[in-house]
This record gives sequence, structure tokens and C-alpha cells, in this order.
Amino acid sequence: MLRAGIQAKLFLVIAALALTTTLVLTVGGWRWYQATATHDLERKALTYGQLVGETVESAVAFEDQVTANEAFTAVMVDTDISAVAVFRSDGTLIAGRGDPVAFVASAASSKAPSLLTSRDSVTCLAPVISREGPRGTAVVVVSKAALQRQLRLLRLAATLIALGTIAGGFFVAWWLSRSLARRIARVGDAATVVASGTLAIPPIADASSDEVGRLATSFNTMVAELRRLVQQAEDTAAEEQGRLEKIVTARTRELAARNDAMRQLLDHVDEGFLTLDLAGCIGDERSTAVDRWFGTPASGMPFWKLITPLNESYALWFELAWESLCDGTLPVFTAIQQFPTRLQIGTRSYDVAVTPVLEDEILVQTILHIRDLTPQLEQERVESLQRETLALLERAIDDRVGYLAFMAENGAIAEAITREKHPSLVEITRAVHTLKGNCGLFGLASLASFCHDVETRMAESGDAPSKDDRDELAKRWFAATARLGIIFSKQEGSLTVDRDEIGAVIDGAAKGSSRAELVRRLRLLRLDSVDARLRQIAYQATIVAEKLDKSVNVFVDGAGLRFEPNAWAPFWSSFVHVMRNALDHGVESAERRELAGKPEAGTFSLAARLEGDRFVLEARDDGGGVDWSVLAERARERGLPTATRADLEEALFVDGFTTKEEVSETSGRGVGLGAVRAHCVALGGIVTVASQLGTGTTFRFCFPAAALGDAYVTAHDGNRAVA
Amino acid sequence: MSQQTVMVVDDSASVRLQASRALLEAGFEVLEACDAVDALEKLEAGAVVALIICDINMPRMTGVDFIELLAQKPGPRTPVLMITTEGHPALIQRAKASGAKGWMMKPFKSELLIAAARRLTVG
Repeated sequence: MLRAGIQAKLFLVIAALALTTTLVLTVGGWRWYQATATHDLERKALTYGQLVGETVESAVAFEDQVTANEAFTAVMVDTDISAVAVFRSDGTLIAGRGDPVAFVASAASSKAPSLLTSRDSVTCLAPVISREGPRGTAVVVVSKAALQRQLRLLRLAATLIALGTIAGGFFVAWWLSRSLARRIARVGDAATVVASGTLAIPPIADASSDEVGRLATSFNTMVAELRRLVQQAEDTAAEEQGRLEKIVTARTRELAARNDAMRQLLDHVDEGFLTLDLAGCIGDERSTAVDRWFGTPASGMPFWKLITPLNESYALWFELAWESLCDGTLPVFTAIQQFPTRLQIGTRSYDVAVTPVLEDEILVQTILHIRDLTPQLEQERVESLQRETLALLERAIDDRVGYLAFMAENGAIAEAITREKHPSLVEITRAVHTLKGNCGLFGLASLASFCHDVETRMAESGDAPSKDDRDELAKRWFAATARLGIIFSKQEGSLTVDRDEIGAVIDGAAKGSSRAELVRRLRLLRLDSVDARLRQIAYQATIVAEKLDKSVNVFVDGAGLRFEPNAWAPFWSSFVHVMRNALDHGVESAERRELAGKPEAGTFSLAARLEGDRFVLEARDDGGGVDWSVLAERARERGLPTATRADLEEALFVDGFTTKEEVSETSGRGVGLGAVRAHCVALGGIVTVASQLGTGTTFRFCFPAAALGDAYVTAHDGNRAVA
Repeated sequence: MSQQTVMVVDDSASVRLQASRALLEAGFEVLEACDAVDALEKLEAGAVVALIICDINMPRMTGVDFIELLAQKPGPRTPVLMITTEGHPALIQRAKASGAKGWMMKPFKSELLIAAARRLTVG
């Protein structure tokens, strides 16, 4: 294509040049020769005309034809002369040879010769001038025949020469263009091969020193240089590759060593490390502990699927939290806080910490760090048990009677709960609440906390404690009390009496008191002392006050009364709620008391007395009193009657009703007062509340005196005076 | 830009107080409801809220029943964020199925509640 293109172009250019030159030369030369020859002929005609004109002057003057003919003969030796003649001034012919032209008058009068040119001849009209003036005209006709013959021959020759020249020129053009095009094409072909990426081509053979030759030479030089550069680049690349391979090998070894070290760490660390991708699936790189604890996950298994057979509830929470993390509903760190952290599998407890891995604030994966807390929790449990046992021991040493009463009463409560002896949900709720309060008072904090958790679960489910909770409660009660129970136990049938009291009986007998009086005093010894019980409650009150960080002075007056212990045990167990509510709800903090202008320390008093045939027990505090308006609003929210004061007082004792904003381990369930009233009513008593806002509250329990016990009543034998 | 109103539905006054304080400091207006029935009454009376923060366990009507009732009402759905204690993942699932946008465990940190409220009231 290139060849044809260049060749054609060159051929056309050179051929056109040759053609043009040939034509120009040929036609131009011919025309020049024609013009020159014609001019020569005209000069000849002019010359002959002048010559004849001068020669035949005398002939004209003397009309000498012979002289004229001789002149004519001499002139007609030139074969180009086709006619010669001389005319008189009047135009008549004197002599002539050939076929002269007609006489031309203008020529006769002219003093100079003139020419008449026609296609075939050139006629010279020369005036014959003597001394006398023009006498005639000499006419010489020069024929163009010879010239025309020459011109014809010349035209033919020129045509042939031109054709030959043109043919030659075309050949040269073709040869030159072909040669040039081939040379250029060689360079073009070589460039095409190089452009395709191949440098292995032979040098272009072109030794010519013209532009194409220099192009070929430069091209060869360029290819050689390219080969050199490519080789140099290849050598450099090979060196670099070798160097990089060494680096890669070294890094690979280093990474392998690190992986080995990491693998060693993951295999031997006793903690669970694993990653989760965005689908929650467990990564292959994880510590061995994960597989040991939870089983080996299948490939691509989400973490919660691994946990579901072990703890379905935890797995469900984890999955919910995962969805919340991934759907972007919540900010990442808010969503992270919703993951459940404590995983319980059988008897083992695990702590699960979830850490997001973010790139440009976008979650890319998540890391789980799982620790087996079981040994630690067990250690804490054992230490807690030891502390509580010690605390209980101290209470037992300080107040053996109170301790034994606590064990008896609350052991019965714990047994009733675990054996589902309570007929109603309300009663079991009260029992759990009472047990919680009493355990807290006696330093069994973990058992009290467990009861609190049981209460919470009961409140959420609206149902009695589950079997697991009941079994756990029994286990914990046993663990907390069994050891001391061996040391401090009340023997069946035994009786603990105050030394002074037995001393009074002995003194009475010695002084000769009546049999009836002695029997009365001895019967009274079988009853428990109200003073002793109130002092126990007072002691518990100081513990509660300390927990609440309040300063409270507690006063007790049992009036020397006594009560039948078995009948009153449930009441005294639940009476602790009155104390706890008085100190938590009633007595204010030191700051608020100061603002109210009250002494820093609050007052809580427990007093018992006989009023006629009634046994009255009062619990009084000097706290803030009941805010009846707030209570009324809470009661309305609960749908309770609020029309009268009596309605409001009644609301205080409704199970689950509380004005407390939140539940604490001390109070807030709204269960305690209901429990104590129930036990009060069971003993035939009633309870009333007197409260004044800002001043304080008094709970007054009023029982038939007979409720204290038959022994008490018969011992008095109608005499209601205190013994 | 006008302040957006968040409705806090919880039968615990202390939870409502904690949530309200946090939201007010963050620039929201707060409308409290003491339970789901109260919340429904307020909404039907014309209260316009950008977000509802709702407890699950409440007397008279649970949070899940509340969401299910809201889902039946016509008009654009107000996003609901459930707050709950541990114990009932199935309720959370029901709440989400009924349209709850998200959930948080109690007790919650105020800054986390604010971050969640801002995220859920965007746009």
C-alpha cells in the first residue's frame, strides 16, 4: 500500500515532469524553428527583393527585359524563389518569371520594400528607385514549400523524439519511484515489526547516502539502541526481581515465624480470642480455648449458632445485638454496649467482650475476647461465703438467742419457699421479701442479693420462683447456715431463760410466794421476751441505718411483756419490714434533716404495752412522714380507691404498691407492709398508720392480749398487771 | 431548626427522669408518658413526636402491644427505640417484627441514649 502510494505519487510527479519538459521543449523548439525559418525566409525575400530592385533599375528605366531576365535567372537559382517580376509604376509587367503576385499599388509608391506573407509564400515588394524616383516595383516571391517540408519533417522528428523522451521519462519515473518506494517500504516494514514489539530484526540494507539511506541507517541505529536499552532494562528487572524474591522469602519466613508464634499463643492461652466477619461467622484463626469450651464450629458458622445448643437465651440476645450492630440503627459504640457480656453454660461462667474493628468509621470485623470466670467466681463465692459465715458467727456470738430465732424463723421461710408450701403468689412474694430482708440484716449479703434477683424475676414473670431458683435458694441457705448450725443449734425441748428472771422465781419461792404465783412466773419463763425481740430489731435497725448512711437513734421499751414464740414467729419475721421502711422511707438523710431544722440523727422507737385487754406495739419514726398527695396520685395510677384517708392508708398495705421510685435491696417492692399486716391479722390484730408530713409516722399494731399466749393470760388469771 | 420531640414511655419515674434529663441536655424536647396507655392517649390527642423511647414491661399494656397498635395506625411510622432489662429476647424479636427500630438494655448510659436518639431522628 505504502509502496503503491509512494510509488504512484513519485511516478506521477516524475512522469509529469518529464512529459511537461518534453512537450515544452518539443513544441517550443518547433515553434522557434518555425518562427526563425519564416523570418529567414522573409529576410531572404526582402534581400532578393532589394537586390532585384536594384538590379533591374536600368531594366525598368529602359524596359530592358533581357537584363531583367538575367537578373531573374540569377535570382531563381535559389530554388526557394518561386517567382520574380518587375512592374512599371503603373503596374504593368515589364518581365517576370514564375507566377508573380498581382501588382500592388501601395508597394509602388512606397520607398521601402514591403512583405506580403501568405500561407504558402512570402512576397517582397521592393520599389525600383532611380535617380528620378520610383520607377517600378520588383516582386520576389519566396515559396514556403521547402520550409513547410522541413517543418513537416521537423514536426515528425520532434514528435518521435518527444514520444521517445516521454517513454524514457516514464520509465525513469517508474524505476525511480519504485526504487524509492521499495527503500522507504523496507524502513516502514521494519518499523512495523519493531512497533509490534519485536526488536530481533536484521538491519535494513541501504547503503545509499541520500535521505532514505540516512533514514534507514538511523533506524538501524535506533533499533540497536532499543535492543541495548531493553536488554539493560531486562537485566535490571532480573536483578530487582532477584532482590525482591529474597525480600519476599525473608518476609515470608518472618511471617511464618510470627504465625507460628501466634499459633502457639492461641493454642496455649486459656482465653478465647476469635474474630467475626460481617455476617457474624467465626474466623479460622482463633484460640484453641474456643473449640475446647464451645465445640469446633463448622466452617462459616455464625457465633450464635455455635452457642445456641449451649445457652439458647444468650445466643438469641447475641444475635439480636449483632443485628442491631450491623443494621446501623444505632451508633456502633452504642450497639456494642447491648451485647450480653455474661455467658453461663452449665456451671461455668464466661465473660464475653465484643470489640469492633473499624476502617474509616465503617465496621469491617469484630473481635471477641472470652474469659472463663468460673474459677474467679468460685473463688469470690467461697470468699463471700467465708465472710458471711464469719459475720453470722459474730452475730451468733453477740446474740445467740437472736441468731437462733433468725435461724428458726428464716429457715422455716426458706423451707416453705423451696417446698412450695405457700398457697398464693402474694404469700410467696412476701416470704421471699422477708427472707431477703432478714438475710441482709444478718450479714448474708449474697443470699439477700439472690432473693432480690428472685423477686425481680418473679415481678417480670408474674409467677412463683422457678424450680431452679427454689433449688438454688435451698442450696445457698444450707451453704450459708449449715456449718454454724452445727455449733449453734437449739436443742429440741431446751429452753433459754434469763438468769435474772430465773433468779426472781427462785427468790419468790424462797420468800414463800404462793404456788399460783410461782406457777405464773414459771409459765412466763416459757414465753419469749418482747424486750429481747425488740432489742434484736433495734440492733438490726442500726445495721440498716449504716447501710443507708443515715444516723438513727433507736429506742426500745418492751414493758417486760412476753409472747408465745411459735405463734408470733411469722409476725416478728415480717415486722422487720416496718423497721426497714421507717429507716428507708421515713427518716431523712442528714442534709435534708438539717434543712428541715431537725436534729442530725433521726429517731426510731419501738414500744410495747398493754392497754386494757389489748397488746399494743408501736413503731415510730421522726422522719418526713407520708406525703398523702403523692401516695394518692400513685394509688390513682394503680387504680386504687383514693376517696378517703382510710382508702389511702389501705393503699399502703396493698402488695406491690410503693411510692418508691426504684427498687433497692432495702425497700421499694411494696411487699413488706402487706406481709406484716397479714401476720398481724392472723394473730387477731389490726394495724393503723398515723403520719404527719414533715413530722413522722407511727405504725400501731393492736392485738388481743390473749394473742401473747395462753400462758400469759392464764398466768395473769384476770389480773392484767405486768409481771 | 425547630427542636425535635422525643416521647419517653416507662412506668418507672426514675427511668423517665434519667432519660428526660439526658435528652433535654442534648437539645431535644421531651414528652413523658407513664405507660403505654398514657402514650396512646397523648398521641391520639395530637402529640407530634420524632422518636418514641419505650419500655417493654409495663402495667396495663406492654411495650410490644403498644408497638403493634402503633403499627396498625395509618400515616408515617414514628421510629421506636425499645428499652429493656435482660430476660425476654423473644419480646425484642416481636417488637422488631412489629417495627421497632432498635433496642437498648437498662440501665443505660445517658451518652449512649443520646447517640441513639440522634441517629434515629436524623432525617
